[in-house]
Amino acid sequence: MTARRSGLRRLGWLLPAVVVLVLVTVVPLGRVVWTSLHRSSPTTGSELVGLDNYTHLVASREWWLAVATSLVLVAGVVLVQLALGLVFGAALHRVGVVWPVARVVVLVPLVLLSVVSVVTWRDAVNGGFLTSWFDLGEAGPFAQLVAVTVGETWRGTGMVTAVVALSLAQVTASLSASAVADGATGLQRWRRVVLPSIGPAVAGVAAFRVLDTYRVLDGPLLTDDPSARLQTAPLLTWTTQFTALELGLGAAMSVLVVIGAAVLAAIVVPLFRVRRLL
Amino acid sequence: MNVASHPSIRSRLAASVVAFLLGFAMANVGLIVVPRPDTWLWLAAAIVLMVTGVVGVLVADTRRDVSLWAVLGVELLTLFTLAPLLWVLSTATVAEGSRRTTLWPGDATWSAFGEVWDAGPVRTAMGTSLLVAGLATVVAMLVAAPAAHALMHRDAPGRRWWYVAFVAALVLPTFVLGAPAAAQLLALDLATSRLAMAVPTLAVALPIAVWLTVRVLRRAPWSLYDAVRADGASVGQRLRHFAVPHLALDLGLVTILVFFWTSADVALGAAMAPTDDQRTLPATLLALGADPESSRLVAAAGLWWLLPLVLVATVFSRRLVSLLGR
Amino acid sequence: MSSIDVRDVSLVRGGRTLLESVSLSVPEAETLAIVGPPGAGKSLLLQVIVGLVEPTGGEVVLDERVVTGESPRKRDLSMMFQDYALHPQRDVYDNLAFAATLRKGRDKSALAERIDAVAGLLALSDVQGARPADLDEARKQRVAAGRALVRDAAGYLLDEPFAAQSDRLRPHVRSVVLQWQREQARTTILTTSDVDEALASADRVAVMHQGFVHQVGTPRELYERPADMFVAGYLGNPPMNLIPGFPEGEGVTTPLGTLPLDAVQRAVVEGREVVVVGVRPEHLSESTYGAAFAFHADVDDLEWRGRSQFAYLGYEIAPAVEEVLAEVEDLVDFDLFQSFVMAELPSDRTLERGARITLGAAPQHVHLFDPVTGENLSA
Repeated sequence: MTARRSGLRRLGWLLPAVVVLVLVTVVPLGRVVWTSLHRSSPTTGSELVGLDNYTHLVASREWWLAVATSLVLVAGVVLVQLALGLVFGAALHRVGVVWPVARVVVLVPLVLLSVVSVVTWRDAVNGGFLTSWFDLGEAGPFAQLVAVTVGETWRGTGMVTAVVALSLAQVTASLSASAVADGATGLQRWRRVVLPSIGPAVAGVAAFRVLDTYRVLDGPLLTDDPSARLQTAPLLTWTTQFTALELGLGAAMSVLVVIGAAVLAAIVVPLFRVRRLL
Repeated sequence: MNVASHPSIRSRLAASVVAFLLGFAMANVGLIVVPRPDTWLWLAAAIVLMVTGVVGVLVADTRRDVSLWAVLGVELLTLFTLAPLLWVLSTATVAEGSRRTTLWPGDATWSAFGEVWDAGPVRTAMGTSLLVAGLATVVAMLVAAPAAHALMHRDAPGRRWWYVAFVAALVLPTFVLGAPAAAQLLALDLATSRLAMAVPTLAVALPIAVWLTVRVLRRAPWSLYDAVRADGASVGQRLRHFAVPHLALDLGLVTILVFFWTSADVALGAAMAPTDDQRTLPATLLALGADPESSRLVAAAGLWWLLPLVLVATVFSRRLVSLLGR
Repeated sequence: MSSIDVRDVSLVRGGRTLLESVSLSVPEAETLAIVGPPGAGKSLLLQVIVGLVEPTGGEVVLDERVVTGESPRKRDLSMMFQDYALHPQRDVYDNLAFAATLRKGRDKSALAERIDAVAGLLALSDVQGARPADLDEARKQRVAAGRALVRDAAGYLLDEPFAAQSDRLRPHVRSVVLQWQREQARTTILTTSDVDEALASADRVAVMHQGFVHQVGTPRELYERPADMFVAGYLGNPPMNLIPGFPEGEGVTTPLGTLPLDAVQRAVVEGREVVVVGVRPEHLSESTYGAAFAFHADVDDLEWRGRSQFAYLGYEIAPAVEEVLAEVEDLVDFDLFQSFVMAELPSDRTLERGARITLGAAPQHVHLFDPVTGENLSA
C-alpha cells in the first residue's frame, strides 16, 4: 500500500541520524558496559571479573555518599532556580518595556562557558570579592563547592525566567478576562488559568534543569581537593577513570550514573507531566 | 490592561516599603561592612531601591498601570544577573600576577584579552574548538534536517520513540562517553587527530540539532508550502519561494546555536585529548582554571567566546526567543 | 478547459478510512459544489485532486489523462486554501501575482491587467500594497480567492471560498467569482458547508459525509429526489422531517397518523418492520385536498419569521423504535431524527400555541426510507 511505502520512505530520511546516534552513543555505552565487567587499568591489563565492580560499588559507602551529594545539589539548585525563575519571570512579564533587553541579558549567564562561570565563582570566595566583603578568610573545598553551586544556580535561573516570562505572555488575555468576569479571585486565576497554561513549559524546563544539573562535572572538578570528603557521582566517576585509572570500576560507575539519569528522568518526566511537550 | 490586573494601593505601598527597607539595609551593609571601592556599588544599588520605594509611595494613588512588586523584581533580577557578570569582567581585567579582590574592575588592564590571542594554549584551543565543534555541527545539521523532516510527518512508523531517543540523548551525561570515545580513538590510531575528535562530539551536536530543527519545521507554515506546490512550483521555485523566506534564517540560527552548544561541552573534550595542545577550549580552560593565577585568561577567553553569541542574540533576539519559547 | 474525473478514490490513513471510493465527474467548464458537514473529507478530496495527497486507491483523471502520481505542477490546477495560505512577507499584489509568476513565458502586461481586473472584482484595488497581516479575515479570504483566479489554470479548486465573508457581502462575492469562472469557461470544484450556497452556486452538487459521496446531481434532483436519508436530512433548510412508522396492511402507521400506500410503495416496504417517512417542512400545508399523508396534531411551539412561520408539532416514539433510530444516528454520526414535526406555514395564518391543526402533504412530496441502509425507497 502506498501509505505504508511512504512511511518507510520517511524512515529512510531518519536513517542517517539514527545510525550516527547509535554510533556515537549506543556503541560507546555498550563499550562502557563491557569494560565495567572487567578489572582494567592501563598498567595491569584487563581481566574479566563479571559483576564484581558493581557489587563493590553497591557496598561502597563512598559511592552512595557521592550519589546522595549529587541528588542534594540537584534538588537544591533546581528548586531555587524554579522559585527565582517564577518570581523574576512574573516580574518581567509585568514590566513589559524591559523585555526586549531582558530576553538577551537573562540568557547571557547560560551561554557563558560553564568553566568560566565555575572558575570565577570559585575565585569569588577564594580570595575574591566575597572574601573581602564578608571576611571569609581561607575558603575550604566545601565553601568553594557552595560557591560553585550558587554559580550553577545563577547560570540556569535565566533560562527558567525566560521560559516563565514567555509562557506568561501566551496566557490568552480573553481567558483571564473571562475568569475575572466569572468572579475568580486573584489566587483562583493563578491556579486555574495561569498555572495550567504555563505549566507544561515550566515543567519542561524544570526537567531539563534537573537532568542538566545532574551531569555537571566541571564545577566539582575545579573545587576538588584530595582531602575533600564531599564528591558528586560524576566527579567520582571521572577521577576513578582519569586520575586513578581504574577503568573497569569507572566504567561501572558510568553505567550507574546513566542508570541514575534514567531513573531521574523516569521520576521527573511523569512528575512534571513533561510528556505533553514531546 | 484590564481592571483586574491593576494593583491596589495597599500592595503598592507594601512593595514601596519593602524596596525602601531593602535599599536602606543594603546601604548600611555597604557602608559598614564592604570595603571600598565596592561600597559605591552597594550604595548605587541601595539608592536605586530606595528611590523605587519613594516613587512607589508617590504613584501609589494614581491610575498608572505599573506594579511596584514587578519593578522591584526586575531590579533584583538585574542585580542577580549582572553582578556575577561584572565579576567575570573584573577577573579578566586584573594585571598579570595579581588577583582581584573587588567586584569593581578598578585599575583595569586589558592585556588578558590580547594574551589569549597570542600564540599559546588558549588560541590553539579556540582553533581546535572551532574545527571540532564546527565539523560536528555541519555533519549534525546535514543528518538532522532530513531526520527532523521525517519526525514531523505522521506516517513515519514509531516517530515518537525516535524523537524521545533524540531528546534522551540531549540530557545524557556526556562525560560517560569520554572514556570509551578516547579508547576507541586510540584503538583506531586516531588519538592524535583533531579531526577525528569531531566524531564522538556528534553525541553532543546531533541531539540538539534534531531537537531545534524539529522546532523550526513545526513552526513553519506548511499550508503555505502546500499552496506553493498546488500552484505548480518547481523544486527550485519551492526552495526560493518557501524554503528561503520561511526556513533559511531559522535554520541558520539553529546552526549557530548547535555550534555554541557543542563547543561548550567540557567533558568529552577533556577526556579525548591525549595531549595538552589537542584540547578543546572548555577543556583547556578547565586545565588552566586549576591555577587561580590563570583565572584572568579563563575569564577573558570566556568573554571572547561569548561575544559573537551575544551579538547574534541581540540582532535576532525576537526570532531566537520565538524559536526557543513555544 | 479540461474535465476533472475522480474515479473510485480511497484514502486510508492509520487504519482510518478518510475517503471511501469517491467517484465524481465534472465536465469541462462546469461547476461542482461539494457540500457536507465539517470533517466530511472535502478539503482532503481537493488535496487529492490537486496532487498534494496521494490516494491509497483509485485515480484522478484530467481530460482523459490519468494524473495520479504526477506532481501538482503537471496537473495545472489552481487551488484556493481554506486557511488562505497567503505569503506573509508579500503584499496583496504580489500574493495575487504569485502563482502566475511560477511558470515561464508569461506576458507581464497581460498579467498586470488580469490582476487589476481580479482585484477590482473582489474590491481589493485599494489594499494592493497591504500585507496580509494588516487585512481582516474577509479581505484575506478574497485575496486567497483572487490568487487562485489570477492564474490561467486548467481548473479551479476552491476550498470554502466564501466562509469568512459577511452575510451581506457573501452573495456578491460569490456571484463575481462564479461569473469570472464562467466567463473563463473553467472547470471548478468548490467545497462548502453551507447548503444554500451549494444549491445556489453550482451546476451540480455532491453531498459528502464521512469520506463518502452520498449523491451527486443537480440541485433540483437532490432536493426533489434525495438518494438517502442523510441527503434528505442534510439538504434543505430547515431539514426534512423524518418520522418512523410501521408498515401495516394498506399503509404505514406513524405516531401522527397513517400514510396510505399505493401498490408500488407497498411492494417496496413489503417485509420491513420499520420505515422512515420523510416530508419537507415547506411541503406540509393546511389544505389537505389531494394529500397523501394527512394528520392532526397540536402546535407545541411557533417561530414567526416574517416571510413564513414554523410550527413545531410534537409526537411520541416507541422506546424500541427510538433505540433503532439512535443507532442509525450513531452510525452516520449525524443528528437526523427529532421528536417533532416542523411545518412551514404562511405567515398571515394566525396560530396559537396549543391549537390543534390538520396538515397534509402531496404524494410526490412524501418519501419513504429504509432506516438501516438509509436508502430512499420511493425514488
